[in-house]
Amino acid sequence: MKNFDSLVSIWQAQNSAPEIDYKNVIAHFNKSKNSFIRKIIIGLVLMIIALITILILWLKTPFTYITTHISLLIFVLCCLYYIAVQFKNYRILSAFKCTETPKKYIIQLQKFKQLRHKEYTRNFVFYIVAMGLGFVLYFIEFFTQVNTLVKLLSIVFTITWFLGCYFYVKNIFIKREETAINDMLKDLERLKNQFE
Amino acid sequence: MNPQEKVFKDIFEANSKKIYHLCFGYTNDVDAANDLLQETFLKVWQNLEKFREQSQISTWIYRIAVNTCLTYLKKEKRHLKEELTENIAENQIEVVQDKQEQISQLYDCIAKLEENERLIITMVMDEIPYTEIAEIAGISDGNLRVKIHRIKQKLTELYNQYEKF
Repeated sequence: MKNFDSLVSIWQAQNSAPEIDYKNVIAHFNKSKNSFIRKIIIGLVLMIIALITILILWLKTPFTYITTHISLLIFVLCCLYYIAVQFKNYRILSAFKCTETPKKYIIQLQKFKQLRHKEYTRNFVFYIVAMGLGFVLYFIEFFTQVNTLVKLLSIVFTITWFLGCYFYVKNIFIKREETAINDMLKDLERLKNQFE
Repeated sequence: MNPQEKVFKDIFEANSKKIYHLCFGYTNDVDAANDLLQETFLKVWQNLEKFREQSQISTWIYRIAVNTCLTYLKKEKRHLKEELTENIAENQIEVVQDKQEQISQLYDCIAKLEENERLIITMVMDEIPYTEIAEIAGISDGNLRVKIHRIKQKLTELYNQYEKF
């Protein structure tokens, strides 16, 4: 039978030491910082290219239907919305204070997870609907200028894309996300209560 | 080496071993403990300027380590649960010397405690003052003393049960 003091003696006799040193930490920081910046730049460049393409198409092509202008406006707004969301998340994460008390740290983590969940589920559905509406409106004028085969292919592609998104997003993606976030929030709540 | 790196080197050398014990006590896994240690000191490096304004630097490093451990659980929970039994079995085979076996058993017992209990008890065994632990955990001194008393009893019972087998 051992008492707690004996356990402390065992603990203090251990010679386990970390396998990394301060140089590893600095090297890892430089590496991860660069890859993080690269990811942001690539994401932004791709989104800016998409925006410029839509804007050039809009300005250079003499569209006559008001529905086409509305559809292009929707696409532009979708791109801007995506960029705004990414910047907002980046700002929130930058403001994260890792030196808060565990309870406060868990609360800020809970809030961020809930916000991300809302973006990934409800806002994602709005995003898909807006993009779909954009395509439908765009096709009204587009269909007056193409042959039957292109019309048919466009309709089939759009319907397939919609059905895929609807069934995947509604039945699989959202359900999976709901389960994951509920488990995570339950765990965070349990941990928060441990520091009451 | 620039002055910032020199400061960081000193901070790392003064605190890394104890922070490693905390991470190892929390995960009972060498690789995970090294990952958590790296993540903790990555945040220390990023916030070095802010730390210079603090009088008790170890308190803030411990707080970062505690928060990092708590967050790590969220990402690795399933993975850890699956591997825990294997680690216990592996450690028992590999560790031959009495002292090492005792240390390994102690870590296995710590792994059976609640998350906050693991963090608090490793700090107690590393002789961090109670007032500092209370500040790190963000709880009152009185509350901490009650918790520590309970955890000590729980850990001792677990260890003695373990030793019987």
